[in-house]
Amino acid sequence: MEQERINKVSDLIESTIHELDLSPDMYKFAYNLYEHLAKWIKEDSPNRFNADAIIYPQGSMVTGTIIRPINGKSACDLDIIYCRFVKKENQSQKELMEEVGNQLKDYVKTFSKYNKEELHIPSIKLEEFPECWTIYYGDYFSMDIVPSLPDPETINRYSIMPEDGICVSSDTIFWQYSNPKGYAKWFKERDNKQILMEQLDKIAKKADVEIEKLPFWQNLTIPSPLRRSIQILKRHRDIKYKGDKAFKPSSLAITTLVAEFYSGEKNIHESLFNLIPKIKEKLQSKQSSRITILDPTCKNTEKFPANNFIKQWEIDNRYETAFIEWFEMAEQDLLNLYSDKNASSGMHKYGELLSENFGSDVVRKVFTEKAKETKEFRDSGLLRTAVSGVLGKVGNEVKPHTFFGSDK
Amino acid sequence: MLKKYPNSKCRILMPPSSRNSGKEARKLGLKTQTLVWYGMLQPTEISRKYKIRVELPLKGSPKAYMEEPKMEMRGGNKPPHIYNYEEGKMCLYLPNSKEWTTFKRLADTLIPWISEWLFFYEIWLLTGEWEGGGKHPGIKKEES
Repeated sequence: MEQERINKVSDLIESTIHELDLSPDMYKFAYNLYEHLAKWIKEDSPNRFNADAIIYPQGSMVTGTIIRPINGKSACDLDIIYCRFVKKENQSQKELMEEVGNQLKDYVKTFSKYNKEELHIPSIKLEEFPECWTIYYGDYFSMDIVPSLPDPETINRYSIMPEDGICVSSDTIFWQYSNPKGYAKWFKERDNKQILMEQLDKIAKKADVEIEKLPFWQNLTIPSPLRRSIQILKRHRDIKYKGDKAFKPSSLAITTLVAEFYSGEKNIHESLFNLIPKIKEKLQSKQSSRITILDPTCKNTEKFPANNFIKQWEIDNRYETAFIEWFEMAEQDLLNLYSDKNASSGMHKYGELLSENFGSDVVRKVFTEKAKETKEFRDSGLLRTAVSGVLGKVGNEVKPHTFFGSDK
Repeated sequence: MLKKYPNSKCRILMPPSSRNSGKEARKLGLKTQTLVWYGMLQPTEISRKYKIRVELPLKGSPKAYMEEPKMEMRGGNKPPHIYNYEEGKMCLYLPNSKEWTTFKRLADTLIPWISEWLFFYEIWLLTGEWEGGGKHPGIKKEES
């Protein structure tokens, strides 16, 4: 019974997070816009540049750990790498940002004139940030386009997909080194699922712009314990931080930590409670040395030290404090959800606990769906009661009847 | 019924005037000889465990009560589909219909319906919506 209770709690958490997955329609919507932009760049580039380029997605859409933000019912964003095959010596960060920016400005103009209605987008806007250009499609979708160049030292820097390292314009003096493809491959290996690279089939054409596809959405809807554990923690963070962005634990730090310590558990309960002590131990090791979350694709040699994903912790220790505080809170909240002290407190109590941690709207939806499902089962003669009274597929058939009465 | 629900108890209470179980019958407000069933029901693995009492008088229809814990309100509202809130008396089937007849077993009808009622009750406590369907007296349209 105890294991069944734990499974039931996991099932409710899973259902809640599932509500926060991108729906197939949203995924297709994102995919269409990505493809539209990439194709436009592909056609436009030969008239503008002498160098080839490649465009590919990165981040949570690729690793399958995306969740909808708490504000906005369907808002989501997609991160794209736009790597132009230009030598680092021949182009400054500023030039790279400007050239890509000018191209995107023209795209937005053309889109606004010809494609807005056809693709059902009420408005389109382009904004520049230190590392990327962001296109906002209405209020519900945005695309971060990261201009980059191939990293000449990539072979020395990375152990996973070493040929795919890039330089990203982080400011006007330094290039930031990154390996999104290597990271996606590393994540896939940790996840041990066939979700990524097989789907990244290329539409290679004449030496111009190469476009890689997004992983097919169906693969993203298969919940793996690793991806679910990341989504659970990310959602918990979003709820606890509400709209407050200051010192909010980063998704990259959470994703990397969880994937690093995941060891192939078969369900979210095991996955979470095996991971949490290991992550805690790492976070508590600060007495001996500073905590780092290193890019797992890096070789990390003396000459080529690995990227630290939590570099900002060195600049302001409030990032570290905030992360540790949030993580301890997440642990307590998850322990509380699974605790046997709630064993006989009722579905509504579990609903309240889940609402506190993952949001009341989504939890209400999950319970309503479960209730509707049960009624449909009853109406079609499939609902049964076990000797304990537990409703399900075993035991006595629940015969047709009509609830009646009112004590007003 | 005891065979199907081994964790329950069944008693036959004699009318209040009788020597044996008269006191208990009086306490329960029984007027005639009545079969009384006590059992624990838990509609899901994460639900409360409810102590339930079912009374089946010699002549008449069965009645079901939530003994423990006491029935709760939500935002000042009583749960839908009950006869009496203070007594925790649930209303599980349409009276004068064939849903329950004296030829049907309680174990196959009323007890599963109670479990189902408890399930929708807990969800009602959370959402404020009764998703189990049913009818209210005086209202012809059935809830979907």
